[in-house]
Amino acid sequence: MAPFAFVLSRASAAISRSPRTLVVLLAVLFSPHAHAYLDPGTGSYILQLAAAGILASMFTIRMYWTKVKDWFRSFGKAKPEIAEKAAAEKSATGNNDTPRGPGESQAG
Amino acid sequence: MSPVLPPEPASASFRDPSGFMFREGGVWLRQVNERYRADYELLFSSGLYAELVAAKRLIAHEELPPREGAWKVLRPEQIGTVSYPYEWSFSQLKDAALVTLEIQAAALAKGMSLKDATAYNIQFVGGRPVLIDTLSFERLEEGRPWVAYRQFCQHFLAPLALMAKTDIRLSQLSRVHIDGVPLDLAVALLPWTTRLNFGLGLHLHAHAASQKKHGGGSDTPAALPAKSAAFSKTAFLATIDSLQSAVKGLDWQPAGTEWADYYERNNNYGDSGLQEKERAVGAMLDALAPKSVWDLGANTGRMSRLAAARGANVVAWDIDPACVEANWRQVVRAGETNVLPLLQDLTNPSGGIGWAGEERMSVAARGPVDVVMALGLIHHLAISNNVPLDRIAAFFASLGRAVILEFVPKEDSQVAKLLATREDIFPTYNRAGFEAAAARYFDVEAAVDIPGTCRTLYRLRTRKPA
Repeated sequence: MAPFAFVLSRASAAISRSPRTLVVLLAVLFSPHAHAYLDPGTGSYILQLAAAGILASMFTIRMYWTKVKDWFRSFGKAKPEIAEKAAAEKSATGNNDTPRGPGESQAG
Repeated sequence: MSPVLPPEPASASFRDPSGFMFREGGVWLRQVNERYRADYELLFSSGLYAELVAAKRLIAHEELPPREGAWKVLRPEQIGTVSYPYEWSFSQLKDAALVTLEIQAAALAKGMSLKDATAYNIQFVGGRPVLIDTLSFERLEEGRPWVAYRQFCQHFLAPLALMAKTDIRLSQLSRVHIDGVPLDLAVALLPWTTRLNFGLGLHLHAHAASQKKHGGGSDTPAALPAKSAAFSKTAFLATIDSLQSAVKGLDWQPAGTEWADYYERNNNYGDSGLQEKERAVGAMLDALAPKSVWDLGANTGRMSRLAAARGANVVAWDIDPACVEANWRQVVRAGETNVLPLLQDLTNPSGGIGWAGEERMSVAARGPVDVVMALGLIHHLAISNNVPLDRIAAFFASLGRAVILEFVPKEDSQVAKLLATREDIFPTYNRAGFEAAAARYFDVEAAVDIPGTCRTLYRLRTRKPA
């Protein structure tokens, strides 16, 4: 990911060379002052703005990916439940064929 | 009628115009100024206060009757010994960082944001890191980047990365740089490979580069935009999420350091000797019934827990980062609420630092406590560090109203080891010499030989200065 840090620092350098780029690129809304009692640091502000797009995209993709994974997982979960139910029924009917939980099937 | 004098703010409480801490009748109170009214009301109306207090993330408080000159006066839950980031183990700093980010994420969800992210706003209360600055929240201004981003990186991410990737002892940089480790210094000390780590590459390396570019001179835009459409709420959440990943990705394992396996390999105490020592210390604790205890040279806190089991709030100080780390992990694992492990070099204890040398308190200024425990410690101070016995006695007397001290004589194998490679310049280092030194500051209430060893345990009552 070194190239990423490099690209970022190049981007913020480009912004600093031409403040107009900053205005156009980021559709900046100017405000007379930020009501902060700390000095946030110019470089820290600009870095956050420069990284905002890529972090937000990665974040959004990951959120969707998590949803997709959860959806698949919900499928996976349904099956063992059915298996357990069947096993419970089996043992209730006096079958001696000891059922194994889904996690135990590979256990030596 | 005499005018009502405004309260004197605490020495560390002057930066934020929203209010300040002050002490009244031995109780810490917080004044809230009129200018903070809107944010304070939002903290409650949004439900954020209730949520964070229920989750034990934010210190609880009650409002006191109104007073002249103050919009509100709060009485926060009182905390035990205050501690500072340069006294925390790796995992303590990491847990404090994660709690700060968790609070920020919760605040964002309620339309608020942390306006500062200093490690000094976190204290360990009841075995957990807790935000103690109720006035840290402000209304979220959509489009404005995190005002405390730089501070978070300097106070948390940079020292954590340095401790994990360079050397654990770099936690002490926070003692020199009171507003956190400057990022240009951090990246100069970090291994080059940390650039390849996405979180560290962005939040430390690129961040430092951006600070350098825009640190002043012609490159700096005259007017910094306070808001930008690019910094959406998703971008804000993503920034916090990215910081969380960066912090979670850092780890440090306490292996092979000075004292961490002390009890396992120590040859002066077999199992029975250790039990005898615990019995003797326990009996002395029972006699003193302390509410507050500082265990100096606590190792991983085995003896500290004798005091904790008797209901005392215990700080377990030790010089070894591995011991403090192991001890903190034990606190977390067992959910202990009254043991606080802290890092401390007693030969060079934390001094008063910051503005006027008063912003962060020295160790002594945070005392005295009911009982100081100094077990298996005195030979390290007297022999390894050449401190005369009467100075050791004077220092302990300044820290505790009573002291439980284990005297380790020259016959002990641990002391013999210390003397093996050096000239013995300690003719008075013996029981009689110690008792003579102690007599200036203490009344000796009990002296018990620990069976199976040549060590003696003393129960000393600090005499009030004449």
